[in-house]
Amino acid sequence: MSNPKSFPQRVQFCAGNLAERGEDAISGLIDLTSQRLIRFATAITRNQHDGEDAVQAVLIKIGSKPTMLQQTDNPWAYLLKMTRNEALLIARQKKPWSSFGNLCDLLVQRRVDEVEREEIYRAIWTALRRLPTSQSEIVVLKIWEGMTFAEIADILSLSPSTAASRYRYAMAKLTTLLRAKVGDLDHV
Amino acid sequence: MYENDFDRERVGGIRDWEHEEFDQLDLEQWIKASGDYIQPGSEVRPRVIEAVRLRGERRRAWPPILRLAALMLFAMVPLSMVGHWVGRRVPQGVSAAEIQYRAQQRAASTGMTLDWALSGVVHEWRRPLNESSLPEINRERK
Repeated sequence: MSNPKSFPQRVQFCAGNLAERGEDAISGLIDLTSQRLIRFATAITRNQHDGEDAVQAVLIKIGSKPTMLQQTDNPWAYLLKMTRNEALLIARQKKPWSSFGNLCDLLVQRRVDEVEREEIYRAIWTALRRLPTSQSEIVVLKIWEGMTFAEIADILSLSPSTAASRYRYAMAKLTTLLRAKVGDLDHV
Repeated sequence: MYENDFDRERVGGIRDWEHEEFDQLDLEQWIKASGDYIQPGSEVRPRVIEAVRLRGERRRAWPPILRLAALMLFAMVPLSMVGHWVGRRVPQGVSAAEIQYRAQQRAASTGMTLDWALSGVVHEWRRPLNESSLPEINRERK
């Protein structure tokens, strides 16, 4: 555990620190996980501000009970589960967002070498928001978190085959949506 | 030109895309690349740290209050026992009317004045109490 490599191992290391040092170690966990948790929560809530609210609620709970995360078998999966529950709770309380194409809630970073890719990224985020939550969350966990269908199934309380089939449907829909977008880009 | 193989693959993906050779692998690579497009708001970190700190302070403030409450609860038991014991030692009440009546009876039967009869009645009423509650003093007096 002295030199953790994979992301889940690094989260486990942070959870150990948190249990040992108490709430003072929460900043390490925030720095490590907040970006990933926020993009996951944002994919569920379809709004970054709501996603951030969900992540804040989760991290505050974790910080208030520093040993809670260490007691779990897989702290990273546990954090994702907590974030999903909070995000779903917030999403249920909000009105469905009528404009999926509106990404003005997103706080983005524009690297100089990625300016030309920004339109594609925006198209991808817009397309993700057009998917049902049950599909978009699987895309996030599969592609951004690099999880297997078995791991995804554990977090979402599904069977691995259901997770795999939802992923296939999601990718088929995204392919259709993004091909059209690329066609638009070609005319610009 | 490219930072790594993945960047090279991504740009390769865009070329395929433009030539309508867009497949799922390319799409996955593009989605993966777009994951870092958004970043957390600057307020998230300080808000979480502040909220955790406040909760910690509140939690630490509770134990002294709880200890005091527990101490008071435990103190109630011996205090109530002492109160009960003292209550049994306190003289049973005699009404002023009864004292007055006894004094009148004594004055009538012995021929002494009412004030001396009253004094005698009060003295007799208090004597058994003194003997039972202050045995050491009574012994010295004897």
